[in-house]
Amino acid sequence: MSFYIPIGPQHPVHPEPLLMKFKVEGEQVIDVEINVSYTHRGIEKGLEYRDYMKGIFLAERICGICNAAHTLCYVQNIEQLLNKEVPPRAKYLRLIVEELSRIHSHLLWLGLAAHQIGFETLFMYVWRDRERVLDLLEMITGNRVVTSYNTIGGVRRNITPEMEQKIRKGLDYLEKRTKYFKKVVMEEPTVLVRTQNVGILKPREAIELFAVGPVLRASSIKHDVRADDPYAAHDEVPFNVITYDTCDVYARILVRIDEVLECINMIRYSLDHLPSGKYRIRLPVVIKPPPGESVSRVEAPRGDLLHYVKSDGSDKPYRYKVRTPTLANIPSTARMLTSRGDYIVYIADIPIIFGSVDPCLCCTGRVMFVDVEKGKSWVWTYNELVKYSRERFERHD
Amino acid sequence: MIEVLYKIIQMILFPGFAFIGVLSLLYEWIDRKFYAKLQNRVGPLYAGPHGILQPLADFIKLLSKEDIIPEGADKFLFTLTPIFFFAVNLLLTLLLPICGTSGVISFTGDLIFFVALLTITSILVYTAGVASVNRFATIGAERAVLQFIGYEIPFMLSIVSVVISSGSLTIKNIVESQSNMWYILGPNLLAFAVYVIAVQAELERIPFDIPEAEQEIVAGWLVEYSGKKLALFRLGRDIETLLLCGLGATLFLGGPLGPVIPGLEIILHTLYFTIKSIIILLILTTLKAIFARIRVDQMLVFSWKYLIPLSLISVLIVRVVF
Amino acid sequence: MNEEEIINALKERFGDKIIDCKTPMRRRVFVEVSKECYKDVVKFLLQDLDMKFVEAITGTDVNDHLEVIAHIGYGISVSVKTKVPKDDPVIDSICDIARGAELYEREAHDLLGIVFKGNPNLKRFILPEDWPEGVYPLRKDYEAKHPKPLR
Repeated sequence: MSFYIPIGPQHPVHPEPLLMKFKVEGEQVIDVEINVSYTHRGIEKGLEYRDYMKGIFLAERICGICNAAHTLCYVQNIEQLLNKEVPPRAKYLRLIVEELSRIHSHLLWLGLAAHQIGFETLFMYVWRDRERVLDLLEMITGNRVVTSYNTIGGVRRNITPEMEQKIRKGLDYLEKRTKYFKKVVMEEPTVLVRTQNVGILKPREAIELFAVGPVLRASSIKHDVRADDPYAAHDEVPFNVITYDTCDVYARILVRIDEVLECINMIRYSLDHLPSGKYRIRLPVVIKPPPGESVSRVEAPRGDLLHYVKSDGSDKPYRYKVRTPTLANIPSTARMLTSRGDYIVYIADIPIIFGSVDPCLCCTGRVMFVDVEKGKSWVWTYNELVKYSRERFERHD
Repeated sequence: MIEVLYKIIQMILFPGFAFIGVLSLLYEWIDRKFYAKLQNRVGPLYAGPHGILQPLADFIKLLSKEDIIPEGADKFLFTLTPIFFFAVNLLLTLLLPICGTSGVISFTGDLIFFVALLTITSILVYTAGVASVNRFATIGAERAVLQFIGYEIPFMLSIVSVVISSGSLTIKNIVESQSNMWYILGPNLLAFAVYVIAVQAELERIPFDIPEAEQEIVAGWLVEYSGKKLALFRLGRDIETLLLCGLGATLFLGGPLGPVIPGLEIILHTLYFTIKSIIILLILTTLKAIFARIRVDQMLVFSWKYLIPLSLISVLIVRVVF
Repeated sequence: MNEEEIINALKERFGDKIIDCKTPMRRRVFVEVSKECYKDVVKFLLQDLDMKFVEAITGTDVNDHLEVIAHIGYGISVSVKTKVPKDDPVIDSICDIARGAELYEREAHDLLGIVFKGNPNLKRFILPEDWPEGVYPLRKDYEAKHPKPLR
């Protein structure tokens, strides 16, 4: 006997609202349907109403955690349209802040993944150490999470030699702690039993369904935008592309932890080889790029991020398109969550499988102004709200 | 007549209901504070000195919240289950030997009575989940029954080891036969380990809090309860914690026994009993902090592959030695 | 393969069906094709040139027609553009050669009204369920009003 379970839109496992309707039989999941339309905010249309400088701030708020990646992609796009090169010091500084925010995102995700399998102690320890990264980001950019560091033509602030010393000390601490967490994940039997052979995505399926990011790399496909299509200073700073071949949740956890260790090495290399000079070229505040199109790609913490801009010569973009990595990972997620043949998915596995994809749904549904009242506004009483929600619930079934 | 009155005062005040109520709230505070310290946090801090009144504040807050009964739920079962859960656990505390070698109530074979009523509390969890007609509650109740199949047998077998060592099914005799040496310091060590793991599963704590898994099914079988009913469930759960820690202290650590000064016997016995059951509580809290939650099918495999054979071995060892 | 080789391979295979192609910057190729050979070009890039990866499908509203752009490739990004008339916005879907592109086509359909013939699941994706039919938010004639604050 099977029945439908809705996970969402409000549920303790989701940091953002989304609806997943699961068809279950006993404790096994048979089918899933994903609906991501709850966090529509109308950003693509909104960018068409703002000139290029103001658009940076809107692009930053597409996602709170990947904001460094979004601004980097946006300003790279505009610079490609204008055909201008940023100074070398700016490229290295952009890389440092981008990698620091990648460390932040992966540590945050590790804590959430531990929370989703019920391992509260690891969650508390990881989030305590994440505060160190936030302190470093605050020292460099002035903000803890939404960094506002990139701008068209370079970066907004410089880093001084005292800051470099503090960054190095912070990195040593983070490296020690990350190695400890890797040991915990690899040796703790309850973690191993919950994450191995769970949420399997074979390499052939990963390519067919266009998975991106750590999900792709945990299925042993070696693809990383920083290596295949280098931007900022990534063609000069050496690093390894991390892949694992067990294709399950355990591999994804290890890919992300190893990426944190790689980021720490990259930041150390760039601090050692930081070129001197200007960190910003001055451009006029109102920018009018020549008509044309441009595509820009960046490796956000969650995967492959693509921005496309089409300009018609005015000071506002004619069309701006954002394709975020979580949207690309949705077909793979739906594949991982259905049981077929010998591969069984239990309800208890749903949070960790879904969490291993590292969903950031405010990035995903971002395309239209929710036209709230169509011109008029009214206030609902409590009874009307209850009646409306009951009707919607009955219609869903 | 005076006898009956005396017994009633014992039952209600000390070491009966009022004392048990205060002690169970204290145990919840110890559990939360120690768990927080293991996780590098502070735990309860503001209600009372060092947050010691926090469990009481939570209980009073829950009593004042709105009590909603879902429309499709079975009203009779829904309302009665929390009351029964609380009442059965409270009744069983009268059997614990707190201030002497026997509890307020004591009769031949009361250990069997104890274990039988504990089974009823587990079945009440299933009833609570099924009575609130909600998908998450149904899944939670299902998991509770599966987990019950897992832990009940090792729990009983570890108690059987103690029964064989002491040769009696009465709690009073078990306590008295430990006056030379506590059972844990002998061949019953293995039985103690199995008992602690089985109790962790019975109390639905990590790594076995599967029926109530917050991230997956939003509080499981408790999801529809609110207000006074939830307060009764929570308090009943605290009393069950006290009960099982106390039972462990009685069976394995010698209960209230220890060096006494004549005249202060009641106070010292209570003190020893409390300290020993707090030791077991601290062991349970440490287990809660160092593991992740496992799946229900993995729990069954673990229990039938490892726990039950271990408990059978401990029974054999004890039979050979005694 | 670098950008020049890709452009030469396309020109050799499709000849004059390619309306325009250019390389404005490193690792970017922009190709414009006619509606009929859009799917063949995509198939050629995905399978014969082994680029394997459709990154996104963009729709744009240019005053009298709609444009569909498919961004393809892991290292070098090839953007295949095609034009579709506004009063008959039908184009072949690439879902049978690129299974993961289904969601991108649903999004373009929801927001711009482009109909992808052959897509197995062309229903509402990103707008709320009670959004009126036939209103396409990303078209230029839709004015997004600023929502009024609730008092």
